[in-house]
Amino acid sequence: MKSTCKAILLVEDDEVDAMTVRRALKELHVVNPLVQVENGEEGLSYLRQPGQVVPCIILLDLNMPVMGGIEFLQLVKQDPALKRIPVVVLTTSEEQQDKVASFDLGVAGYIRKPVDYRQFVEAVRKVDAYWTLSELPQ
Amino acid sequence: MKKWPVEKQVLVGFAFSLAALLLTGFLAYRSASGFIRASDAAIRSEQTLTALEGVSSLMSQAESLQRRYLILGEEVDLAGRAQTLARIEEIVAGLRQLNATDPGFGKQLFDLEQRIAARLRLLEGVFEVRRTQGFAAARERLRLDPGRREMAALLAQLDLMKAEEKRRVGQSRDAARQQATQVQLIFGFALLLTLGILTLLYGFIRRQEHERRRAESALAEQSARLAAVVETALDAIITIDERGIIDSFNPAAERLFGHAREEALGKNVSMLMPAPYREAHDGYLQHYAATGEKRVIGIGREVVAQRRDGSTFPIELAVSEMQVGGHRMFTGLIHDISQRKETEERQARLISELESANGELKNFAYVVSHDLKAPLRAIGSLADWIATDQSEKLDADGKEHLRLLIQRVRRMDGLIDGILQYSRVGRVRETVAEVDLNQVVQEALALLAPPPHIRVEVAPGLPVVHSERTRMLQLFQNLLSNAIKYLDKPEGLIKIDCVAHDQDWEFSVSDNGVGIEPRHFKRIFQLFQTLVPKDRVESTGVGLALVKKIVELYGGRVWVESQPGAGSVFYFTLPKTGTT
Repeated sequence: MKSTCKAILLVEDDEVDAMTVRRALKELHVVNPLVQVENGEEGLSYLRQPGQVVPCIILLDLNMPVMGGIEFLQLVKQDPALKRIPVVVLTTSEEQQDKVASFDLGVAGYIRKPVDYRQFVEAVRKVDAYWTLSELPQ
Repeated sequence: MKKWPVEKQVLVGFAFSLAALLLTGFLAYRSASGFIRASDAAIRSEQTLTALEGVSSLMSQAESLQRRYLILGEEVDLAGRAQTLARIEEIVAGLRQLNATDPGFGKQLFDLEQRIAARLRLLEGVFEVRRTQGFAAARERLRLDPGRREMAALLAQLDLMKAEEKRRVGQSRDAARQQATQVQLIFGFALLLTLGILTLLYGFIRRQEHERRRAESALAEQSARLAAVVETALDAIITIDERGIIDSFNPAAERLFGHAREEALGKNVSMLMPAPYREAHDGYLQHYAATGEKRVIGIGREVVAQRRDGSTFPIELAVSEMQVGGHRMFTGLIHDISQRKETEERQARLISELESANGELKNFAYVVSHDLKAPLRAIGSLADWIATDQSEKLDADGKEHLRLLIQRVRRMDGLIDGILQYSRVGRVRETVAEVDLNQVVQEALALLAPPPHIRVEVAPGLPVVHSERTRMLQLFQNLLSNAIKYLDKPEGLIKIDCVAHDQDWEFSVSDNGVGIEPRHFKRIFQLFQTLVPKDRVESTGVGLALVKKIVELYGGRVWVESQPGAGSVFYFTLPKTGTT
């Protein structure tokens, strides 16, 4: 990632999926701190803490209890302070309607979680490479 | 003529016969007058003839009297002679009067008079001589004078006139006979004509009467038929007057509402309606009478009706308006739609059940894709990590087991993807568009990337079909992927072809691979059915089931012909018209 000090926010309820992300980032030597929350609601309250430094990227699962990914996205994109944070969807869903809804809400990417761990590492490597290259507004 | 009323036609007939009678009357009158004239003329001529005969005989008499006087010398004969002379004058005057209008006769008469006068003068001369000079001198005078000649000329003149009159009598008689015959003819003709016209009129009136009777009986039959239609109709037919009073009530209405006809007639029709409408109905009629605004009339409407026992049922009501004998009437045609309503409700219920079942199925597919895959992925990842992190601690068996574990996870992932794909066909609709199958086949081949020992021949000019692009791609991708997967020959050949039929296109994908035994032809199109152990060839058994589902969704057929060891040909059809 470009700014190495900023956090990566992972919104993910599945512990093993979270472990997968963490392990992949570690394997790829990404040094940014990883903050994990278990659903959209927790994600919002994390982002809206007073004096919170916004994360450089949000990795978002769609299918979660309490508040799902799409609803979280809607609220984030309505918030002037949060709407510019790039969001990459990490999901199992292959449904067209999820893809359409996500891109309608301005996601930066949509990655289907592969069952094979090695493939997943490759996917995360590419996300990291891209966001190391891409500029972000301050 | 046809359009004229019967009375007029009869009148014209009578006028014709009257005119004919007048005409014949006129002609007969004229002929009769002619007859009378001719008869008169004949009589006149006969009288003339008689008079002429009289003149002739009187002249002879005068002569014989003279002769007597000449011989006997008696004075009495002189008186007779004067009498005879007076008779002759009288007759000649009569003749003149009789034939005053005939100038020709007048002249002849004049000549006759001259001759008579001349003759009488001669006779007078002889008389004079006898009286004064005696018998011998008179005889001498008589012998010398032209009396005899004169008398002959007179008689000749008389004969001429008589002949003329005889001719005239004949003529007049002929004329009279002719006129009489004419009268007879005219009367005969008039009789025949009148008879003819009367016969025609009689025939005409009879025919009219017959037709009228036939029309009457036809009308009676028609109204009987109409009545029968109303009587036997399956739908209730009720007529009411302007005030809503029931005027007729057919048997179907009796059955439907439970009221007997006698019971219903004369009552207000609102008794057939349930509460809120019952009170409002008179108002509706008044409203219509006042404004002419049609709410039900001429329009069918579904309303609720009430039976005699108070139960209600749905009906379709069609009201029409009619004018009968100057009164406004309304006809209500009532169809019981209870059953239809029930069916409709049942259908609506079924549809909503189907919709919810379909919704559940959709959710099910979604749930499957998420909730089955998440743990599967976790198992895969964890197995991978164990294999990586604990590689020193694991022996060969442990590593092999983990490899198999990861492989099974991948297979299950494939199966879940297959189910999702299969369930998505027909459930998730893509826009239907013109799809160029030449492009689609090339795209499928590019995705599959067949190994170099397999040659793929694609027939040129595949059609453009009206369908969903993704489904067409899946179709060819699955068939080609099977053909490639089961190719066991060192030189593989896959051919794609298309034949146009009247209604559809028939596509074929043939290979020279392992082939399929005929007993499996049905099985291979069923979901999750494979013929080769999965460890040898990775297969989910979804491909051909998906092909079948797509082809059948588009109204086509799919089948296979194969020879084990030699290869297979998969055929499928797509209708040219495109589909849903």
